[in-house]
Amino acid sequence: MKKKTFLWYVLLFMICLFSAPLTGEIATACRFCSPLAAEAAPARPLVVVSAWEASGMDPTVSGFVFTRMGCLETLFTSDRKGGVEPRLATDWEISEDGCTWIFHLREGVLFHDGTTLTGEAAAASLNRTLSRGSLFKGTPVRDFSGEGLKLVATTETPFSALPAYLLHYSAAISAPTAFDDKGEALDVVGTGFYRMVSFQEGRILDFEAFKEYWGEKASIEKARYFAVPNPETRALLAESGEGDIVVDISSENAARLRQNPDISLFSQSLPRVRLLALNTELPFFSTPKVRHALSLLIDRKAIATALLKNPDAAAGQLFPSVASWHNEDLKPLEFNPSRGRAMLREEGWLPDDKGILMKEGKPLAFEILTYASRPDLPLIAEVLQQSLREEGILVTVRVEKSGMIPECQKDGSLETAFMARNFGFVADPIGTVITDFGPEKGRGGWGAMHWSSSSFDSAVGRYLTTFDPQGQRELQKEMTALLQKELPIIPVAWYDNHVAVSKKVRGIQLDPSEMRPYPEGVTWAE
Amino acid sequence: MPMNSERRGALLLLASLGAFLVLLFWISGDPFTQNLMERLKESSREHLLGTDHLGRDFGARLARGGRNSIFLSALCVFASGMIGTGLALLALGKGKKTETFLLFLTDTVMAFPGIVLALVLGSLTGGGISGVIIALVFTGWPQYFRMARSLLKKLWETPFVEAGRLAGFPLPVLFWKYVIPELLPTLGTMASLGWGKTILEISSLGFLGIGLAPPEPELGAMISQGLTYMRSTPRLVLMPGILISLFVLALLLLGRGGTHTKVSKEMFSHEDPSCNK
Amino acid sequence: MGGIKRFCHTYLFRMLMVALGVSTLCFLAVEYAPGDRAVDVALARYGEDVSPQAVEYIRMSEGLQNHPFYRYRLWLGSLVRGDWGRSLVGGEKVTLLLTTAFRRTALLALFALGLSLVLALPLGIYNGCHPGSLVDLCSAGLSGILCSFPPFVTGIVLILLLSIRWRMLPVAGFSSPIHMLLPGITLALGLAAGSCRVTAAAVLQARQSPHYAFARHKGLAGRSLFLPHGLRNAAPPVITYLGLQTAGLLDGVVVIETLFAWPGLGNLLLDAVRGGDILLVQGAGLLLGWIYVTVNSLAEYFADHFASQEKRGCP
Repeated sequence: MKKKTFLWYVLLFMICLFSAPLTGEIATACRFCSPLAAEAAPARPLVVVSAWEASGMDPTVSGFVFTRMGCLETLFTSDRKGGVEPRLATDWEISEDGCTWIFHLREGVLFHDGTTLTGEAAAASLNRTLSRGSLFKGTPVRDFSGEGLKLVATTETPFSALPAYLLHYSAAISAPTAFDDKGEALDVVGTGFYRMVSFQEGRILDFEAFKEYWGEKASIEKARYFAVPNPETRALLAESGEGDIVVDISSENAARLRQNPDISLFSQSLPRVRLLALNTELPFFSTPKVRHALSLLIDRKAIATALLKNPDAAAGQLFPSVASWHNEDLKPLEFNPSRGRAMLREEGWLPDDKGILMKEGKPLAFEILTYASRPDLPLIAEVLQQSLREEGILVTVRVEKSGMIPECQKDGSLETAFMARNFGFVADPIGTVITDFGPEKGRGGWGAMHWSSSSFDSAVGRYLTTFDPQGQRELQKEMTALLQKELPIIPVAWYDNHVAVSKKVRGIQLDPSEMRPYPEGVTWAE
Repeated sequence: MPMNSERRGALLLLASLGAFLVLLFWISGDPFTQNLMERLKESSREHLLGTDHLGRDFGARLARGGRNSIFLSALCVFASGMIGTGLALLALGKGKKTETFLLFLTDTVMAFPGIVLALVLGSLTGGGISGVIIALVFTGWPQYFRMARSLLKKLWETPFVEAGRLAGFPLPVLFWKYVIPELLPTLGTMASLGWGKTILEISSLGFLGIGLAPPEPELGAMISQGLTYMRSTPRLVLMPGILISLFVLALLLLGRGGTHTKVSKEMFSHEDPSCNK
Repeated sequence: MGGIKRFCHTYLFRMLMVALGVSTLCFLAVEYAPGDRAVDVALARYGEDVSPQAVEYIRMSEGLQNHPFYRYRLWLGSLVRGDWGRSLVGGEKVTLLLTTAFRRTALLALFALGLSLVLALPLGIYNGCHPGSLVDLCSAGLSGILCSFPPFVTGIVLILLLSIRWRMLPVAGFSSPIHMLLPGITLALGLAAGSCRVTAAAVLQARQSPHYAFARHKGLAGRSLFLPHGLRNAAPPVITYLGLQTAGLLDGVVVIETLFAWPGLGNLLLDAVRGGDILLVQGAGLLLGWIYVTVNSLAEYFADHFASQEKRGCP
């Protein structure tokens, strides 16, 4: 064979190799021949755009995509005010010792594959979450079992927060047919008003209205979930009209989209906080007075107004006003640099000739570790660095991946960490409070470092065994007051969620805890 | 490097860019002082090029960012060149086995694109600038190695080097008198092109979030931070972008100058310019 | 014939060595990166609210507490059997993730290459035939500028103009072919800048060569002169350059995919590295190694082939 012919054969082979899989791709792409925005309204799907993609169909990993699209449902849901509302379960009973719960399930609920929701199915789904997921690990939940329309949950020790945990997407109820005998996810089969039609590797998911839904059926026949990690691209999708409901809009874009006549911009507070965790073993953070002094040097209002475009996002305490644990009795943390300086002076920190604060020959210097997956964090860390620098405190900022924070805490090298902490991941913040501030052996690496308080621990213990709301409220106040007094972590700013909704869509009701589906009650505005 | 109009133009461009940066350094303030109430302001007497999203003097940020990008990429190119040439000498001197091993190493390294390797290696050092430099030098040295090796090979056989060897001149002398003058033009051209390419790579990595830690400015990182404000304040994105492009353009012209009418073998870094395979 | 056999042997050997070397590098990078793999995987899977007990569970169930070399050996063993493992984050099969991502990146890359050829070839041929003309000088200047623009800057400018200002094209997405236009154009412009100049130079050189003069002397003119003697001689360097461009395409593609939310190999690798998804990073390393060795070897082979032709002095 001549060299030339050989080369042509190779070229042909390469073309075949590449075109074979590509023809499949092109065929799929050609099925959608016109841009979405131009499709006729009845056939057009409702497009929800978010930052997070579904990594696989396992509800313990990517269940949030399906609960937020109304495909999977949980036993209870958020009542939009920080409390709990019945969904698949109607009410519950607790045994005398507080360790056995009986949940009554709703009658006549069908899964997307036609089977009925029973106690056994619910128990199977929850037991899978218990063994494979992260939700119940570290909690005293022992087992789920079910019969007929009753679901029984047993815990090792009394656990008053169980209903709050059942709101989490990990605890969504899937039909037994959704998993194979090894427990791997085969499909998404839930009870919600949208049924999943195509998965496409988790970036673009298509849904269709479920005709046999037990509640108010979806008025828009088709829906689509579109994962776009880039915040600018999301904003552009809102502007161009390709996204009907676009969530996770940044503050900067929100300010601009508010002026857009085709978009209604909704902003609501989230129970998520940007805070600075301090290593209290370091000499400069060892007393509450120094920690308070540091807090007084932070101009939260300026940060919130300039960068977050919302002066109310300045954190006066750990829990934002939307969180159920918000304590109105607490005096808000303020910005008072002169008092802060005075307090530092009283603690022995005096400026040297260059203006750096020194004590016993050592400068007040520390490192802030933060991460970039939430881009506002390094930004605010830079601001903190500069403002503290002007007060004579040498701060360096290090941006790593978020997993470094618990890692550095473990090996003791963490000095401070600036992070976003979600106190609403289950309806009751106690979950996060325990892992962050509770007994030290149960801590997760994201909370207070080397700080502990026996009165706090006892309050936590009492909380778990208190089942009445009034008693819980008093204990919440006790714990939040202690955190505000001791300041093992310094809250800086609360989070807002900005959602851009096209004016073509009507009826949206947003949930601050992001547990209720976005398309709930949504219709086309005609 | 022969001089022609392209190269003269490129040098002029480089000189003016350099002068611009130095000027910015002189007249601008501190690139780190923030003023949240003065953010995104247009040019004023105090801030000649306005302020950025944190209220810092934008001109000062540009100057320092430009300086950082230039010096970092120069460092990478210099290190790659040194390592590549050094290894080429090793390959020549130490015999067949070392040479085969080094060739295999070159192939392995060349199989990986710089940015991807920087990503992977970046996680090794936590996304900081040391990871970027290591990755870029690691992927950069093979082209210098190959070029130097083929040039040296050709050189080793030439009569005057042979004569010098026979005459008993010590290696350093041989090196200085014959090898360096021969290597310098070609490697210099490669280095100029490589410098431009490295500036692009560093800014791309900065755009992806890997590189200098805040508050040190870097042109690519400035662009990615400025994206959010692209609509209201496009200069935050356009000015660093133009600065990068002008630098790279000047360096490309310097390296390639005058050869755009000839398909020079230098365009293909795989090629052996002396045509000896 | 011996040349082909030699090529095949060297190619196969190279492929094996390089693929293994590259994936080992990835393995080392992910393994010895600072931080705890189990924490990374837990965060990628469950988000920021993951409990510490879940982290330990992941460590146990995924065997992350075993020594890295032990796990590497296991991976090599399963590799030979054709099982590339499952993603630690989502649980999908690595091969599935890689093939779909690769197809998408290949689609975008080939579209961009094709578009760049459509743009560059006619212009380059014209410039080669009319050197020094206004078009030639303008396009040389324009290509120089385009080459120096970082790919994300071109992309951003195009988004600003085409998506926002003039509302012509959608910004990001993957559901219809039209979404491929913006990222494709961004890449194609950079590629075309280079190919245009190489084409122009190659055509010019072919026209100035003695063979061409001889053919004209023979009495040939017009298309029968240009096509067999001009274009055919200009083709080799252009093809070689294209090969090199394809090889270097992945660099630009990673940034472009991030900007336009194109779910290809670049994005996959980024997410895998950030999530500490070891098996996926290793698999991606293998795949990338294979692509590069293939493209590079072919490009080199072409270059050799045509260089030897040139030496022999005949078309």
